[in-house]
Amino acid sequence: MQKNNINNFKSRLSESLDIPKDVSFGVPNIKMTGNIEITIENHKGIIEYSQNILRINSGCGIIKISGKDLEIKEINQEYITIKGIFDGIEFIY
Amino acid sequence: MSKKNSMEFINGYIIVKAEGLNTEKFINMAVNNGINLWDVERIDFTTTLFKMRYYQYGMLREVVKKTGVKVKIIKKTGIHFIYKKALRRKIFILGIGVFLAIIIYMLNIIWQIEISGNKTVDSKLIYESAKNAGLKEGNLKYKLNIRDIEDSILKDIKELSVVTIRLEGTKVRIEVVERKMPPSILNLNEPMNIIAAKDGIILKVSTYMGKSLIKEGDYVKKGQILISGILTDNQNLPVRLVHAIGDVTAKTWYESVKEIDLNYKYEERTGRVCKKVYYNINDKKIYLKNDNIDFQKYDKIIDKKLLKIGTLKMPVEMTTEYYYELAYKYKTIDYDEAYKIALNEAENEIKQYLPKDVKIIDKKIEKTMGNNKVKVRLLYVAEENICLMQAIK
Repeated sequence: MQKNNINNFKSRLSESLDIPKDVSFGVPNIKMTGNIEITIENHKGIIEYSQNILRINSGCGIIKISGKDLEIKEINQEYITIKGIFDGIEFIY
Repeated sequence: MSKKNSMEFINGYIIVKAEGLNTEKFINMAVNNGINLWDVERIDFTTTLFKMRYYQYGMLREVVKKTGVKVKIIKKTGIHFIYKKALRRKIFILGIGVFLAIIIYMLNIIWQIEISGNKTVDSKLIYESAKNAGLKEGNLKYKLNIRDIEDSILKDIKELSVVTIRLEGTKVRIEVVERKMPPSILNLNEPMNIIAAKDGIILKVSTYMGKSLIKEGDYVKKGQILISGILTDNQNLPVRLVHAIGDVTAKTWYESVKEIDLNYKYEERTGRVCKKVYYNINDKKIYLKNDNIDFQKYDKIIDKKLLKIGTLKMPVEMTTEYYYELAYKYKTIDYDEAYKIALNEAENEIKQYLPKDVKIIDKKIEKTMGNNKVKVRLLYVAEENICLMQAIK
Protein backbone atom coordinates (compact mmCIF):
# COMPACT_ATOMS: atom_id res chain seq x y z
CA MET A 1 0.00 0.00 0.00
CA GLN A 2 2.79 2.31 0.98
CA LYS A 3 4.81 1.36 -2.13
CA ASN A 4 1.81 2.04 -4.30
CA ASN A 5 1.54 5.47 -2.77
CA ILE A 6 5.17 6.17 -3.45
CA ASN A 7 4.75 5.07 -7.06
CA ASN A 8 1.72 7.28 -7.38
CA PHE A 9 3.66 10.21 -6.02
CA LYS A 10 6.58 9.48 -8.29
CA SER A 11 4.43 9.33 -11.36
CA ARG A 12 2.67 12.55 -10.50
CA LEU A 13 5.95 14.28 -9.79
CA SER A 14 7.56 13.07 -12.99
CA GLU A 15 4.53 14.07 -14.99
CA SER A 16 4.45 17.54 -13.52
CA LEU A 17 8.22 18.03 -13.97
CA ASP A 18 8.31 16.40 -17.43
CA ILE A 19 10.88 13.80 -16.39
CA PRO A 20 10.80 10.67 -18.54
CA LYS A 21 9.33 7.74 -16.68
CA ASP A 22 12.14 5.33 -17.47
CA VAL A 23 14.52 7.62 -15.60
CA SER A 24 12.37 8.21 -12.55
CA PHE A 25 11.12 4.63 -12.20
CA GLY A 26 14.27 2.85 -13.28
CA VAL A 27 12.29 0.75 -15.77
CA PRO A 28 13.55 -0.19 -19.20
CA ASN A 29 12.68 1.72 -22.33
CA ILE A 30 11.84 -0.80 -25.03
CA LYS A 31 11.72 0.06 -28.68
CA MET A 32 10.72 -2.43 -31.29
CA THR A 33 11.08 -2.32 -35.04
CA GLY A 34 8.53 -4.74 -36.40
CA ASN A 35 9.41 -8.21 -35.30
CA ILE A 36 13.03 -8.05 -36.37
CA GLU A 37 14.78 -5.67 -34.00
CA ILE A 38 14.38 -4.68 -30.39
CA THR A 39 16.32 -2.16 -28.33
CA ILE A 40 16.14 -2.20 -24.56
CA GLU A 41 17.58 0.72 -22.65
CA ASN A 42 18.35 0.50 -18.92
CA HIS A 43 18.91 -3.22 -18.87
CA LYS A 44 20.64 -5.03 -16.06
CA GLY A 45 22.49 -7.73 -17.91
CA ILE A 46 21.52 -10.89 -19.73
CA ILE A 47 20.53 -14.04 -17.90
CA GLU A 48 20.19 -16.55 -20.66
CA TYR A 49 21.25 -16.37 -24.22
CA SER A 50 20.63 -18.98 -26.87
CA GLN A 51 19.44 -18.86 -30.46
CA ASN A 52 15.80 -19.27 -29.50
CA ILE A 53 15.40 -17.69 -26.09
CA LEU A 54 16.92 -14.56 -24.62
CA ARG A 55 16.27 -13.48 -21.08
CA ILE A 56 17.27 -10.04 -19.95
CA ASN A 57 17.20 -8.69 -16.43
CA SER A 58 15.71 -5.24 -16.03
CA GLY A 59 14.14 -2.87 -13.51
CA CYS A 60 10.69 -4.38 -14.00
CA GLY A 61 11.70 -8.00 -13.78
CA ILE A 62 12.95 -10.35 -16.44
CA ILE A 63 12.14 -9.77 -20.09
CA LYS A 64 11.96 -12.99 -22.02
CA ILE A 65 12.24 -12.78 -25.77
CA SER A 66 11.57 -15.87 -27.80
CA GLY A 67 12.10 -16.25 -31.51
CA LYS A 68 14.39 -17.55 -34.21
CA ASP A 69 18.07 -16.82 -34.96
CA LEU A 70 18.40 -14.39 -32.11
CA GLU A 71 21.58 -12.42 -32.06
CA ILE A 72 22.81 -9.55 -29.92
CA LYS A 73 23.61 -6.85 -32.39
CA GLU A 74 25.14 -4.56 -29.86
CA ILE A 75 25.51 -4.54 -26.13
CA ASN A 76 26.91 -1.98 -23.75
CA GLN A 77 26.09 -0.48 -20.40
CA GLU A 78 23.22 1.67 -21.64
CA TYR A 79 21.34 -0.49 -24.07
CA ILE A 80 21.13 -3.82 -25.78
CA THR A 81 19.97 -4.36 -29.35
CA ILE A 82 18.73 -7.73 -30.44
CA LYS A 83 17.91 -8.83 -33.93
CA GLY A 84 16.22 -11.93 -35.18
CA ILE A 85 12.65 -12.99 -35.83
CA PHE A 86 10.60 -12.68 -32.65
CA ASP A 87 7.67 -14.81 -31.57
CA GLY A 88 6.93 -13.23 -28.25
CA ILE A 89 7.99 -10.93 -25.47
CA GLU A 90 7.12 -11.85 -21.93
CA PHE A 91 7.62 -10.08 -18.60
CA ILE A 92 8.42 -12.41 -15.73
CA TYR A 93 8.14 -10.91 -12.27
CA MET B 1 24.44 1.31 -41.52
CA SER B 2 27.02 1.58 -44.26
CA LYS B 3 28.49 4.62 -42.58
CA LYS B 4 28.87 2.67 -39.42
CA ASN B 5 30.53 -0.15 -41.31
CA SER B 6 33.04 2.16 -42.87
CA MET B 7 33.77 3.68 -39.49
CA GLU B 8 34.26 0.18 -38.16
CA PHE B 9 36.90 -0.38 -40.80
CA ILE B 10 38.71 2.85 -39.99
CA ASN B 11 38.64 2.37 -36.23
CA GLY B 12 39.39 -1.31 -36.51
CA TYR B 13 37.86 -4.15 -34.58
CA ILE B 14 38.63 -7.70 -33.63
CA ILE B 15 36.51 -10.81 -33.65
CA VAL B 16 36.84 -12.73 -30.41
CA LYS B 17 35.84 -16.25 -29.67
CA ALA B 18 34.85 -16.94 -26.08
CA GLU B 19 34.65 -20.49 -24.84
CA GLY B 20 33.28 -21.41 -21.46
CA LEU B 21 30.27 -22.57 -19.49
CA ASN B 22 29.04 -19.23 -18.27
CA THR B 23 29.20 -16.94 -21.24
CA GLU B 24 26.17 -14.87 -20.15
CA LYS B 25 27.95 -13.91 -17.00
CA PHE B 26 31.05 -13.19 -18.99
CA ILE B 27 29.16 -10.82 -21.30
CA ASN B 28 27.46 -9.10 -18.38
CA MET B 29 30.73 -8.50 -16.59
CA ALA B 30 32.41 -7.27 -19.73
CA VAL B 31 29.59 -4.83 -20.36
CA ASN B 32 29.68 -3.64 -16.78
CA ASN B 33 33.38 -2.93 -17.19
CA GLY B 34 32.52 -0.54 -19.98
CA ILE B 35 33.35 -2.76 -22.93
CA ASN B 36 31.28 -2.39 -26.09
CA LEU B 37 30.35 -5.62 -27.79
CA TRP B 38 28.47 -6.10 -31.01
CA ASP B 39 27.36 -8.86 -33.32
CA VAL B 40 27.32 -11.29 -30.44
CA GLU B 41 26.63 -14.67 -31.93
CA ARG B 42 25.95 -17.83 -30.03
CA ILE B 43 27.47 -20.69 -31.99
CA ASP B 44 26.59 -23.41 -29.50
CA PHE B 45 26.21 -23.80 -25.79
CA THR B 46 29.87 -23.19 -24.95
CA THR B 47 31.11 -20.91 -27.70
CA THR B 48 30.23 -17.31 -28.51
CA LEU B 49 31.65 -15.00 -31.16
CA PHE B 50 31.61 -11.26 -30.78
CA LYS B 51 33.25 -8.13 -32.11
CA MET B 52 34.97 -5.50 -30.02
CA ARG B 53 37.51 -2.71 -30.12
CA TYR B 54 41.10 -3.80 -29.97
CA TYR B 55 42.11 -1.33 -27.26
CA GLN B 56 39.45 -2.73 -24.93
CA TYR B 57 40.82 -6.24 -25.23
CA GLY B 58 43.12 -5.71 -22.24
CA MET B 59 40.09 -4.98 -20.04
CA LEU B 60 38.83 -8.48 -20.71
CA ARG B 61 41.66 -10.04 -18.70
CA GLU B 62 40.02 -9.40 -15.34
CA VAL B 63 36.69 -10.75 -16.55
CA VAL B 64 38.38 -13.83 -17.94
CA LYS B 65 40.06 -14.47 -14.59
CA LYS B 66 36.79 -14.30 -12.71
CA THR B 67 34.57 -16.29 -15.06
CA GLY B 68 37.05 -18.83 -16.36
CA VAL B 69 36.05 -18.28 -19.96
CA LYS B 70 38.79 -18.66 -22.55
CA VAL B 71 39.05 -15.93 -25.14
CA LYS B 72 40.92 -15.95 -28.40
CA ILE B 73 41.24 -13.39 -31.17
CA ILE B 74 40.14 -14.88 -34.48
CA LYS B 75 40.45 -11.97 -36.84
CA LYS B 76 41.78 -8.44 -36.82
CA THR B 77 40.28 -5.91 -39.18
CA GLY B 78 40.99 -2.25 -39.77
CA ILE B 79 43.54 0.25 -40.89
CA HIS B 80 45.52 -0.06 -37.70
CA PHE B 81 46.31 -3.71 -38.38
CA ILE B 82 47.07 -3.12 -42.05
CA TYR B 83 49.51 -0.44 -40.99
CA LYS B 84 51.15 -2.78 -38.50
CA LYS B 85 51.41 -5.48 -41.14
CA ALA B 86 52.95 -3.00 -43.56
CA LEU B 87 55.59 -2.08 -41.00
CA ARG B 88 56.59 -5.71 -40.88
CA ARG B 89 56.91 -5.89 -44.71
CA LYS B 90 59.25 -3.00 -45.31
CA ILE B 91 60.69 -4.20 -48.62
CA PHE B 92 57.20 -4.67 -50.06
CA ILE B 93 56.21 -1.13 -49.15
CA LEU B 94 59.52 0.11 -50.51
CA GLY B 95 58.72 -1.70 -53.77
CA ILE B 96 55.37 0.04 -54.06
CA GLY B 97 57.08 3.35 -53.37
CA VAL B 98 59.76 2.75 -56.00
CA PHE B 99 57.11 1.69 -58.50
CA LEU B 100 55.10 4.86 -57.95
CA ALA B 101 58.25 6.96 -58.14
CA ILE B 102 59.23 5.37 -61.45
CA ILE B 103 55.76 5.93 -62.90
CA ILE B 104 55.74 9.56 -61.83
CA TYR B 105 59.24 10.02 -63.22
CA MET B 106 58.28 8.40 -66.52
CA LEU B 107 55.21 10.61 -66.79
CA ASN B 108 57.40 13.65 -66.38
CA ILE B 109 59.72 12.67 -69.19
CA ILE B 110 59.22 13.81 -72.77
CA TRP B 111 58.73 10.73 -74.86
CA GLN B 112 57.88 12.13 -78.20
CA ILE B 113 58.20 15.32 -80.20
CA GLU B 114 55.78 16.05 -83.02
CA ILE B 115 56.39 18.83 -85.48
CA SER B 116 53.57 20.07 -87.66
CA GLY B 117 52.73 23.00 -89.86
CA ASN B 118 55.99 23.17 -91.77
CA LYS B 119 55.82 22.99 -95.55
CA THR B 120 59.24 23.96 -96.80
CA VAL B 121 61.36 23.91 -93.66
CA ASP B 122 62.73 20.50 -92.85
CA SER B 123 61.36 18.95 -89.66
CA LYS B 124 64.86 17.81 -88.77
CA LEU B 125 66.05 21.41 -88.74
CA ILE B 126 63.33 22.40 -86.30
CA TYR B 127 64.04 19.33 -84.23
CA GLU B 128 67.76 20.14 -84.05
CA SER B 129 66.99 23.72 -83.13
CA ALA B 130 64.66 22.57 -80.36
CA LYS B 131 67.32 20.14 -79.20
CA ASN B 132 69.86 22.92 -78.92
CA ALA B 133 67.38 24.93 -76.87
CA GLY B 134 67.01 21.99 -74.49
CA LEU B 135 63.86 20.32 -75.78
CA LYS B 136 64.49 16.72 -76.67
CA GLU B 137 63.25 13.28 -75.84
CA GLY B 138 64.23 12.09 -72.40
CA ASN B 139 64.32 15.51 -70.78
CA LEU B 140 62.23 16.29 -67.77
CA LYS B 141 59.11 18.29 -68.52
CA TYR B 142 59.05 20.69 -65.62
CA LYS B 143 62.58 21.91 -66.30
CA LEU B 144 61.58 23.33 -69.67
CA ASN B 145 60.97 26.98 -70.17
CA ILE B 146 58.65 26.82 -73.13
CA ARG B 147 58.64 30.53 -73.99
CA ASP B 148 62.44 30.62 -74.11
CA ILE B 149 62.56 27.59 -76.38
CA GLU B 150 59.99 29.12 -78.72
CA ASP B 151 62.04 32.31 -78.93
CA SER B 152 65.22 30.39 -79.51
CA ILE B 153 63.71 28.40 -82.38
CA LEU B 154 62.32 31.57 -83.91
CA LYS B 155 65.73 33.21 -83.78
CA ASP B 156 67.39 30.11 -85.12
CA ILE B 157 65.19 29.53 -88.14
CA LYS B 158 64.41 32.70 -90.03
CA GLU B 159 61.74 31.09 -92.18
CA LEU B 160 59.37 30.66 -89.25
CA SER B 161 57.08 33.38 -88.02
CA VAL B 162 55.24 31.64 -85.18
CA VAL B 163 56.29 28.69 -83.04
CA THR B 164 53.90 27.21 -80.50
CA ILE B 165 54.98 24.45 -78.18
CA ARG B 166 52.35 22.49 -76.36
CA LEU B 167 52.77 19.76 -73.81
CA GLU B 168 50.26 16.97 -74.13
CA GLY B 169 51.08 14.49 -71.42
CA THR B 170 54.35 12.92 -72.40
CA LYS B 171 54.14 14.26 -75.92
CA VAL B 172 55.41 17.62 -77.08
CA ARG B 173 53.77 19.19 -80.07
CA ILE B 174 55.62 21.91 -81.94
CA GLU B 175 53.38 23.86 -84.27
CA VAL B 176 55.01 26.28 -86.63
CA VAL B 177 53.78 28.83 -89.12
CA GLU B 178 56.11 29.65 -91.95
CA ARG B 179 56.97 33.13 -93.04
CA LYS B 180 56.47 33.97 -96.67
CA MET B 181 59.99 34.87 -97.70
CA PRO B 182 60.60 37.78 -100.07
CA PRO B 183 61.98 36.66 -103.45
CA SER B 184 65.74 36.57 -103.58
CA ILE B 185 67.29 39.58 -105.25
CA LEU B 186 69.71 38.97 -108.09
CA ASN B 187 73.11 40.39 -107.43
CA LEU B 188 73.48 42.23 -110.72
CA ASN B 189 76.98 43.43 -109.94
CA GLU B 190 78.30 39.93 -110.32
CA PRO B 191 79.11 39.09 -113.95
CA MET B 192 77.42 35.90 -115.13
CA ASN B 193 77.10 33.81 -118.25
CA ILE B 194 74.17 31.60 -119.08
CA ILE B 195 75.29 28.20 -120.29
CA ALA B 196 73.46 25.14 -121.52
CA ALA B 197 72.53 22.55 -118.93
CA LYS B 198 72.20 19.83 -121.57
CA ASP B 199 72.28 19.13 -125.28
CA GLY B 200 69.36 20.33 -127.34
CA ILE B 201 67.96 22.35 -130.22
CA ILE B 202 67.07 25.92 -129.34
CA LEU B 203 63.39 26.71 -129.71
CA LYS B 204 63.16 30.14 -128.19
CA VAL B 205 65.63 32.71 -126.92
CA SER B 206 64.73 35.85 -125.04
CA THR B 207 67.60 37.94 -123.79
CA TYR B 208 67.07 40.69 -121.24
CA MET B 209 70.68 41.45 -120.50
CA GLY B 210 73.87 40.27 -122.06
CA LYS B 211 74.65 39.15 -125.59
CA SER B 212 72.92 36.19 -127.17
CA LEU B 213 75.38 33.91 -128.95
CA ILE B 214 72.80 31.59 -130.43
CA LYS B 215 69.67 31.76 -132.47
CA GLU B 216 66.60 29.62 -132.90
CA GLY B 217 67.24 26.25 -134.50
CA ASP B 218 70.84 26.02 -133.31
CA TYR B 219 72.14 22.81 -131.88
CA VAL B 220 73.87 23.39 -128.56
CA LYS B 221 76.01 21.12 -126.47
CA LYS B 222 76.12 20.85 -122.75
CA GLY B 223 78.24 23.59 -121.21
CA GLN B 224 78.08 25.87 -124.26
CA ILE B 225 77.61 29.58 -123.54
CA LEU B 226 74.12 30.66 -124.56
CA ILE B 227 73.98 34.25 -123.36
CA SER B 228 77.28 35.89 -122.66
CA GLY B 229 77.78 38.47 -119.95
CA ILE B 230 80.72 39.97 -121.82
CA LEU B 231 79.62 42.88 -123.93
CA THR B 232 81.88 43.64 -126.87
CA ASP B 233 82.23 46.51 -129.32
CA ASN B 234 82.56 46.34 -133.09
CA GLN B 235 86.13 45.07 -132.98
CA ASN B 236 85.15 42.23 -130.66
CA LEU B 237 86.92 43.83 -127.73
CA PRO B 238 85.30 43.41 -124.33
CA VAL B 239 83.73 46.62 -123.10
CA ARG B 240 82.16 45.60 -119.82
CA LEU B 241 80.89 42.65 -117.89
CA VAL B 242 77.22 42.24 -116.98
CA HIS B 243 75.02 39.75 -115.28
CA ALA B 244 73.31 37.92 -118.14
CA ILE B 245 69.54 37.50 -117.80
CA GLY B 246 67.40 35.56 -120.20
CA ASP B 247 65.32 32.51 -120.99
CA VAL B 248 66.38 29.78 -123.35
CA THR B 249 63.94 27.03 -124.20
CA ALA B 250 65.26 24.02 -126.07
CA LYS B 251 64.16 20.72 -127.42
CA THR B 252 65.86 17.88 -125.62
CA TRP B 253 65.86 14.12 -125.89
CA TYR B 254 65.64 11.30 -123.48
CA GLU B 255 66.50 7.99 -124.92
CA SER B 256 66.49 4.43 -123.76
CA VAL B 257 67.40 1.31 -125.67
CA LYS B 258 66.36 -2.13 -124.55
CA GLU B 259 67.09 -5.44 -126.11
CA ILE B 260 65.11 -8.50 -125.11
CA ASP B 261 66.06 -12.01 -126.06
CA LEU B 262 63.22 -14.33 -127.00
CA ASN B 263 64.77 -16.81 -124.62
CA TYR B 264 63.73 -14.50 -121.80
CA LYS B 265 65.75 -14.48 -118.63
CA TYR B 266 63.88 -13.34 -115.60
CA GLU B 267 64.05 -13.37 -111.82
CA GLU B 268 61.68 -15.29 -109.69
CA ARG B 269 61.33 -15.78 -105.95
CA THR B 270 62.19 -19.33 -104.98
CA GLY B 271 60.02 -19.23 -101.90
CA ARG B 272 62.84 -19.27 -99.42
CA VAL B 273 62.54 -16.41 -96.96
CA CYS B 274 64.83 -15.13 -94.26
CA LYS B 275 63.67 -12.74 -91.61
CA LYS B 276 65.31 -10.20 -89.37
CA VAL B 277 63.24 -8.69 -86.62
CA TYR B 278 64.61 -6.02 -84.36
CA TYR B 279 63.69 -3.05 -82.22
CA ASN B 280 65.25 0.23 -83.10
CA ILE B 281 65.88 2.38 -80.05
CA ASN B 282 68.03 5.45 -80.64
CA ASP B 283 69.79 3.77 -83.59
CA LYS B 284 70.57 0.76 -81.45
CA LYS B 285 69.24 -2.49 -82.75
CA ILE B 286 67.91 -5.14 -80.45
CA TYR B 287 67.46 -8.31 -82.43
CA LEU B 288 64.60 -10.63 -81.74
CA LYS B 289 65.34 -12.75 -84.76
CA ASN B 290 68.47 -12.63 -86.83
CA ASP B 291 68.75 -15.15 -89.65
CA ASN B 292 71.94 -15.65 -91.58
CA ILE B 293 71.45 -14.72 -95.17
CA ASP B 294 73.21 -17.03 -97.58
CA PHE B 295 71.25 -16.11 -100.70
CA GLN B 296 73.15 -15.03 -103.80
CA LYS B 297 70.47 -12.69 -104.89
CA TYR B 298 67.44 -11.50 -102.99
CA ASP B 299 64.61 -9.02 -102.71
CA LYS B 300 64.73 -7.06 -99.50
CA ILE B 301 61.52 -5.70 -98.02
CA ILE B 302 61.68 -3.55 -94.93
CA ASP B 303 58.60 -3.20 -92.82
CA LYS B 304 58.75 -0.54 -90.13
CA LYS B 305 56.24 -0.13 -87.38
CA LEU B 306 56.09 2.33 -84.53
CA LEU B 307 55.26 0.70 -81.26
CA LYS B 308 51.99 1.91 -79.82
CA ILE B 309 50.50 1.58 -76.40
CA GLY B 310 46.89 2.51 -76.83
CA THR B 311 47.07 5.68 -78.86
CA LEU B 312 50.41 6.67 -77.39
CA LYS B 313 53.27 6.22 -79.80
CA MET B 314 56.48 5.00 -78.29
CA PRO B 315 59.91 6.11 -79.54
CA VAL B 316 60.65 2.51 -80.37
CA GLU B 317 60.48 1.22 -83.89
CA MET B 318 59.98 -2.41 -84.68
CA THR B 319 61.51 -3.34 -87.98
CA THR B 320 61.03 -6.55 -89.87
CA GLU B 321 63.27 -7.26 -92.84
CA TYR B 322 62.22 -9.93 -95.26
CA TYR B 323 64.74 -11.45 -97.62
CA TYR B 324 63.26 -13.36 -100.53
CA GLU B 325 65.67 -15.50 -102.46
CA LEU B 326 65.72 -14.89 -106.19
CA ALA B 327 66.77 -17.22 -108.96
CA TYR B 328 67.20 -16.71 -112.70
CA LYS B 329 64.89 -18.59 -114.96
CA TYR B 330 64.47 -18.80 -118.68
CA LYS B 331 61.36 -19.00 -120.75
CA THR B 332 60.64 -18.63 -124.43
CA ILE B 333 58.33 -15.84 -125.47
CA ASP B 334 57.07 -14.54 -128.79
CA TYR B 335 58.02 -11.26 -130.47
CA ASP B 336 54.93 -9.45 -129.31
CA GLU B 337 55.52 -10.25 -125.68
CA ALA B 338 59.19 -9.39 -125.90
CA TYR B 339 58.30 -6.03 -127.41
CA LYS B 340 55.95 -5.24 -124.56
CA ILE B 341 58.54 -6.12 -121.95
CA ALA B 342 61.21 -4.07 -123.67
CA LEU B 343 58.95 -1.05 -123.99
CA ASN B 344 57.99 -1.26 -120.38
CA GLU B 345 61.59 -1.48 -119.24
CA ALA B 346 62.61 1.42 -121.43
CA GLU B 347 59.82 3.61 -120.11
CA ASN B 348 60.73 2.82 -116.55
CA GLU B 349 64.33 3.69 -117.22
CA ILE B 350 63.51 7.07 -118.74
CA LYS B 351 61.13 7.95 -115.95
CA GLN B 352 63.94 7.55 -113.47
CA TYR B 353 65.91 10.51 -114.75
CA LEU B 354 63.20 12.59 -116.41
CA PRO B 355 62.83 15.90 -114.53
CA LYS B 356 59.31 16.65 -113.39
CA ASP B 357 58.90 20.14 -114.87
CA VAL B 358 59.64 18.99 -118.39
CA LYS B 359 56.97 19.20 -121.04
CA ILE B 360 56.95 16.19 -123.32
CA ILE B 361 56.08 16.99 -126.93
CA ASP B 362 56.75 13.77 -128.72
CA LYS B 363 57.31 10.12 -128.06
CA LYS B 364 59.00 7.92 -130.65
CA ILE B 365 59.33 4.18 -130.60
CA GLU B 366 61.70 2.32 -132.92
CA LYS B 367 61.39 -1.40 -133.11
CA THR B 368 63.78 -3.85 -134.76
CA MET B 369 63.15 -7.54 -134.75
CA GLY B 370 65.14 -10.49 -135.87
CA ASN B 371 67.76 -12.95 -134.85
CA ASN B 372 65.55 -14.07 -131.97
CA LYS B 373 65.79 -10.62 -130.45
CA VAL B 374 63.63 -7.55 -130.15
CA LYS B 375 65.32 -4.19 -129.87
CA VAL B 376 63.29 -1.18 -128.79
CA ARG B 377 64.54 2.36 -128.90
CA LEU B 378 62.31 4.77 -127.00
CA LEU B 379 62.79 8.46 -127.52
CA TYR B 380 61.11 11.22 -125.62
CA VAL B 381 61.26 14.66 -127.17
CA ALA B 382 60.82 17.31 -124.53
CA GLU B 383 60.74 21.03 -124.22
CA GLU B 384 62.54 22.59 -121.30
CA ASN B 385 64.47 25.49 -119.97
CA ILE B 386 68.16 24.71 -120.19
CA CYS B 387 69.55 27.84 -118.57
CA LEU B 388 72.34 27.49 -116.07
CA MET B 389 74.24 30.35 -114.48
CA GLN B 390 78.00 30.44 -114.52
CA ALA B 391 80.19 33.14 -113.05
CA ILE B 392 82.67 34.83 -115.31
CA LYS B 393 86.19 34.71 -113.97
